[in-house]
Amino acid sequence: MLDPVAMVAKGARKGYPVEDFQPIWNSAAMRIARSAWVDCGLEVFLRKDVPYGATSSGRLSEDAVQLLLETGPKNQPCRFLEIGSGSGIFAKLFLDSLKLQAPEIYKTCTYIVTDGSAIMLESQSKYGVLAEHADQIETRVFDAGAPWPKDFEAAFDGVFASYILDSLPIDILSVGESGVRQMQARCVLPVKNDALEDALKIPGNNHLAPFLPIAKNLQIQTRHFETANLPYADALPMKKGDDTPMVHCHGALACVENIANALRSGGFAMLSDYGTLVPREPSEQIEFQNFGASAALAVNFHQLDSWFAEGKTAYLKPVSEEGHLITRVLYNGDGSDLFELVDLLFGLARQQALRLPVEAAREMLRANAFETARQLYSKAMALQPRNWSLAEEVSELLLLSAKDYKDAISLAEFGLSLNPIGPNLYRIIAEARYHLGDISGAEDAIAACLRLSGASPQARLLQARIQVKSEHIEGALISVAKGLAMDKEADQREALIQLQNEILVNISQNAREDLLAEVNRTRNLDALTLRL
Amino acid sequence: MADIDNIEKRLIKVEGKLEKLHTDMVRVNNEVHRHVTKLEDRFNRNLKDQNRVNAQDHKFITGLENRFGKMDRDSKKLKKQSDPRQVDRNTMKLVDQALKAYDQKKGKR
Ligand SMILES: C[S@@+](CC[C@H](N)C(=O)[O-])C[C@H]1O[C@@H](n2cnc3c(N)ncnc32)[C@H](O)[C@@H]1O
Repeated sequence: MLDPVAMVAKGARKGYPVEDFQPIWNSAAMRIARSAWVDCGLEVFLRKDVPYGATSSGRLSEDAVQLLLETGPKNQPCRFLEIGSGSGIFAKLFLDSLKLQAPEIYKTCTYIVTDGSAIMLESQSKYGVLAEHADQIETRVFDAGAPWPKDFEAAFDGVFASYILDSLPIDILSVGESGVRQMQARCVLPVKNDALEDALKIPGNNHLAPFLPIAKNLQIQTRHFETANLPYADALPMKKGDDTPMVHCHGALACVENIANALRSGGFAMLSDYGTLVPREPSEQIEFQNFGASAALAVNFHQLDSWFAEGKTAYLKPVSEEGHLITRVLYNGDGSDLFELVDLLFGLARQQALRLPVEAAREMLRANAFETARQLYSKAMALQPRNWSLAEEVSELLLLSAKDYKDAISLAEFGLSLNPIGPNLYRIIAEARYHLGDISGAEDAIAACLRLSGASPQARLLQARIQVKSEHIEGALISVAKGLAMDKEADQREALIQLQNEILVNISQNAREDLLAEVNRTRNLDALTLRL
Repeated sequence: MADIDNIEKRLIKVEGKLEKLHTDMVRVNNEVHRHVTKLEDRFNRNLKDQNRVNAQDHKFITGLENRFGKMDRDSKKLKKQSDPRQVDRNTMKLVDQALKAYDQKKGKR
C-alpha cells in the first residue's frame, strides 16, 4: 500500500549520519559552532559578525555606571566582573565613564575581564583595547557555564554579562498535554566523512574547529523523546494544551544563580541579551542566530523572569519593554531602591526613544531625504552623545550624502576616541580625506582600517582608489583583486570591476602614448636646413 | 689578357658586393616589414584593449542606467501612493512623541 505521508517524510532521512541522536546542545552542528569561539580573536567583532555595536556602544556601559552610583556609597575598593567580554569595548567604555564620573571609585577599583576563549583575551591586549586602564584590569580565561570558583563568591560590586547567556547550554523541548519531550538531533552529511565521525567521538569541542568550513553542509535531523533527567526541571511550565516548543535555558539559569552568588552586599549585576519575552506558539520553529560561525539561541526571558522572581536576590525588570535588547538587573539589596531607575533605563519609553529616531533616519536615507535624516540623527545623538556606533552611522551620512567631509572626519575621530578598534571609522576618515585631496592622510587612515579588518571589500575599493591617485597602479590592481576575492556577497563587485576597467584603460592609453613616442623619436630636420 | 683577368676579378668582386647588398636589402626589408607588422600588432592590440574595456564600461553604465530608470519608475509609483511630505511629518511626529514620553518619564524620577 502506498503511504503518501511516509513517502513525503522519507526525504528528510537522506544523507550519511555523522553521529547518533543527541540532545541538540551536544549535536555536531552545535559543538562545531562552539569551537568557533575557541580560536577566534576580535576579528568577529571588527567584521561585525557579532553585532557588538548594540551591547558595547557605550550606552549600556554608562547605564552600568549610573546603576553603580545609585546603589549607594562604596566603602572599600570596588571589584567588577565581566563574563564573555568579547571585544572588551564594554569594559573600556565603562571604565572611561567611571573615571569621568567617579574618579575616586575608579582609582582603586579592579575590573576582571573574562572570556571563555584565551585567544579572545590575547587579541584584546594585542589591539590595546584596555591599554588606558591597565592599572584597573585583570584578565582571566573563564567558562561562565562551568561551576564558578570560590574566589568569585560574594566578591563583586558589579557583574556584567552581555550576549553571553545566549551561548550557554540549552535544551529544546516540546511541552504539552502528553508530557515534556526533549529534542534530539543527529547531523547528516551528503557524503560520508569518517574524519568528522571519529572527531565527534572525542569529548570536548576545541578539536572540532577544522570542521567549521563544512558545518554549513550539516543537515540536522530531529526527533523528540521523553526524558526523565533534565536539569532545572522545576523551571519547566505546566504540561497542558498543544505540544509547544520551548527553549529551556538551564545554562543561563545556572549562570544567573552564580552571578547572584557573586554579588557583595549592595552589589548589582546587569544582564543584557536578545531574547523572547512570551512563550512560543505551538506552530513556531525555533531558530538559531548565527554570529559568524558560532550559533546562539534567543534567551527565554520568560523562563528566567519567573524563576528568579522569588529569589533571595532582587531581580529587576522594567514594567514594559520591547524585545530587541532586553536587560535585567540583579541587586543584592532592597530592590525597591533601584526599581525606578531600572524601569527608566531599560523600559519601553527609553527603548523607543533610542530606537525610533535612528530607524526613521535610516528610512529617510533610503528615500534620499538627507536633510530630514540629519535632523533625526541629531535627535538620536542628543540622547546618546557618546555612542560610537551611532557616531559611525552619522559620519557615514555626512560623508556620503551630505559630503561634509571635514565634519565626517571630526565625528569619526571622536568615535575612535571611544572605540579605538573601529575599522569603519578609519575607513570613513580615509574616504573623507581622499575627497579633500589629502592623499597621504587617506593612505594612513586606510592602512589603519586594513590593519583592523583586511577583509572588507569596501575598504579594498577605497584603498585601490587612493593608490590610483598616488600612482601605485600595480598596488591598485592587487587591491581590486583582493577586494573581489573577499566579496562573497558581491556587494562591491560592480564598483571594483568598474575601477579595474578604469585602471586598465589608463594603462592602455599610457602605453599608446609610449608607443607613439618610441616610433616617432628621430626628427630629421634636413628638409628644413636645406632650404635655409 | 692580364687586363681582362683583372676586369673579370673586379667584376666578380662587384657582383659579390651587389649580391651582398641585395641580401642585405632583403634582410633589411624583411626586418622593416617585421618591425612594422609588430608595431601594427601592438597598436591593434592596444586599440582592441581599450575598445573591449570601453565596451564593458558601456554595458556596465547601460546596466546602471536601466537600474536607475527602474528605480525612478518605482519611486514615481510610490510617490503616487503617498505624499512623501506627509510621511515625513508623520515620522517626525512619532519620533517626537517617543522622545517626549521618555523625557517626561525621566523628569518624574
Ligand atoms: C556574542 S559574544 C559577546 C561579546 C560581548 N559581551 C558583546 O556583547 O559584544 C560571546 C562571547 O562569549 C564568549 N563565550 C562563549 N561561550 C562562553 C562560555 N561558556 N564562557 C565564557 N565565555 C564564553 C565568546 O568567546 C565571545 O567572546
